[in-house]
Amino acid sequence: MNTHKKHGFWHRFFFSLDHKDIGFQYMLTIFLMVSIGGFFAYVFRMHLAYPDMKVPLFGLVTNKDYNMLITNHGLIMMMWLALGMLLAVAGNFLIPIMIGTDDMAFPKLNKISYWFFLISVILMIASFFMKRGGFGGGWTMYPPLSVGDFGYNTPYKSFADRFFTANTFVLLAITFEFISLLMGGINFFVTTLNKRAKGMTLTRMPMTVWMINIASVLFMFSVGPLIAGAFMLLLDINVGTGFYDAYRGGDPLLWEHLFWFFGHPEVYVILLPPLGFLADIISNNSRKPLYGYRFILNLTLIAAILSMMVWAHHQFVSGIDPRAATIFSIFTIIISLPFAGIILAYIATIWKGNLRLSLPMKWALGSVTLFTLIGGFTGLYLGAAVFDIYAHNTSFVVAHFHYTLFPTVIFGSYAAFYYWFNKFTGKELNKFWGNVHFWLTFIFFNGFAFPLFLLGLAGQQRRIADYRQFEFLMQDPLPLYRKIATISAVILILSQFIFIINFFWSMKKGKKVSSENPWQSNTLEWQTSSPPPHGNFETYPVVYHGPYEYNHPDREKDFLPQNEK
Amino acid sequence: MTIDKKEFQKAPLSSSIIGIIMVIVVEMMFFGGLISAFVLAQAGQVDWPPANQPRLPFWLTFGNMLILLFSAFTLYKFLKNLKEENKDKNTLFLLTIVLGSIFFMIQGYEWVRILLFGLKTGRGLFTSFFYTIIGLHGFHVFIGLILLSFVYNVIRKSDDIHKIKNYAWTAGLFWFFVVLLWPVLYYLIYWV
Repeated sequence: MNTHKKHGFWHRFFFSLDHKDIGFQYMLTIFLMVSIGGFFAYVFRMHLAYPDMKVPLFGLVTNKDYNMLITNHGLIMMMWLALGMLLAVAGNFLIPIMIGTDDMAFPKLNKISYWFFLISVILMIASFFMKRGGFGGGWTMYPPLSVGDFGYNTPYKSFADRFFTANTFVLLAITFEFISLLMGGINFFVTTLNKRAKGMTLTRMPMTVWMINIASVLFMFSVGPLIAGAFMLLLDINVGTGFYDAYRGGDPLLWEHLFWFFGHPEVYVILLPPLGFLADIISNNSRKPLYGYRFILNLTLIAAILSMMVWAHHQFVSGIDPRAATIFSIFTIIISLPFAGIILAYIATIWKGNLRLSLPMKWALGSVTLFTLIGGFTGLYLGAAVFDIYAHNTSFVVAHFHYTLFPTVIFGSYAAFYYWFNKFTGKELNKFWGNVHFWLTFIFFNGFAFPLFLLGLAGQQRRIADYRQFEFLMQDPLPLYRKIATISAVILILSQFIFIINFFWSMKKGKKVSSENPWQSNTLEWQTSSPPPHGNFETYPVVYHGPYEYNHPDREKDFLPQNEK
Repeated sequence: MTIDKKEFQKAPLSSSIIGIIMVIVVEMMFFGGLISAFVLAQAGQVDWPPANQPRLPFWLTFGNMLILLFSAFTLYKFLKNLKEENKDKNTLFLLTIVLGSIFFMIQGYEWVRILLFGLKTGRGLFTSFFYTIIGLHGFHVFIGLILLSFVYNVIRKSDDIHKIKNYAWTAGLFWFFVVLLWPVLYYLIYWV
């Protein structure tokens, strides 16, 4: 079964069918996108704190630039970083090897899905260079901002003039990316159903595999209406159909419904895979079985169903019926219950455990703490329409969703990177710089996001480039808060370079791993060589236990690999 | 590298059939989005379809719907009879492709006629929705026909009944979806 041989650059980065290679391709592409998104964040944060300054590496930020920067920062981080990293990268690297199989069910489809992803990235980057400038209609792309020539002053002349606009290109990029993720998701789901190792029953699968699969299925159920909406928006821009044009009988609110019907489940699509990593990492580093495996699963399924019924809480200020708003408020607050249950199960796993404060565990604990205590709780406030109407378009919301997304997407991904790095490269990450990276990120993330709560409550609007016309925003201590947020954000972005350098340096020159199972983990990926050969296992493993059999009383070792009798 | 199936847990269904079911789920949500947008837009209008524009061909499309439904019936018969001894009898499958193509061509003829009558986009929501939804369904019929033709080729050449069954059911499920969607669209757009 081991047919490993060395391949050249082109094979490895474009034509490989191996799931680990494809995962790596996704990862590099996403690193590129994140650096663009991070750079944008740096530019507009600088502009917000020091409005008249020429931002180093960019120059003076005009109002149009500002709109373009926040729009594309949001789009890149939500669509390419979060969805890409947590579904495509994690799914490709982890699913086949964790369920004990050689590759995906459809390896060619997997390769094609990466190509679509690459096309989407190219289209997205091309959109910055259109004649009329990058797309500046907000990452949610609400019409009429995303349809017309608003802010451009010169009307469209021909079809080509309309087609070669950033609006069209961004929509096409998103379409291609979703096709890619759909193909990927189908692949994950089919692989999990049909290619599990002998003995790997559904309830013996590691939580990571479950969560990525539930997220993929949730993505499939929610993405259809958005694709329909995006198609109609494309027609509105390029053919002039008028679905969202109130003047011709259309309804701009329709887009908001179609977008958020996808957009809210997407939040949980993003949240579930990190919850899976956390389950594996916390259980492993507490040396205890995961508390309530089936309990967590059931809660996740309930949350997935509920997540389809909460979308309109993004539209409380968009003119929906207040009676409908009440219903959506109630569902929004109900959906926090399953997640509270899951977090409680994680805390119960840590409780009286034999804790190892390894790097992945630090990221995991940081993630749970920030996500629950600040991100989740402020979500309860915002879920209630009475509060949301006041806070909606302020930086309070910005702080809230950074406190939910950053701890899950970024902390969760880092936990996974630090946990699985030595498996997939056979090298160790430098621990000292890992610790520096963790503490800098943890401290300066809070330094960046927490002042935004205070600013938002003081009335700082979310999408206004030049706020100096509002006198109340110029009073002390608000300028100080803005400066703290900006300086922290800059240090936060800079400290990510520590990771990037550590990552590539360790991959090339790092210390070789001392054992194949350094975390003494039970799951199957640790029972093969590091890095795993093409085909992952020398012989197909047979599974006898669940993934979380730590500190079994009948055993001498404190762990019990799934493939050991 | 060949994979010995015995190495794995028993699969509930073949991989391609699970895959196509997932595709159909996405498609259902996709058309669900379009249909709900259409229904909501319709609810906000006073006269629907708007006055002073060409009517849609009600009876021609009704007949066309019957042709499409019959193609699903022939496919169903083919799949039901698909056994080892009569795997060469693929006339029913060919009939499905022919009927589907007839449906597709009549739809195309209809579109040209309607366009000549002056039902153009940009005249309002009704035409926009009509062309978008019916066009997208037509596109799916086209994809379905390509799939079926590809599978027909496999059926003609292959001797492996399991392979034939797998391919035929995969393309067949997609075709059933496309066919069963049409009466819904017909009712909403042509009838109401």
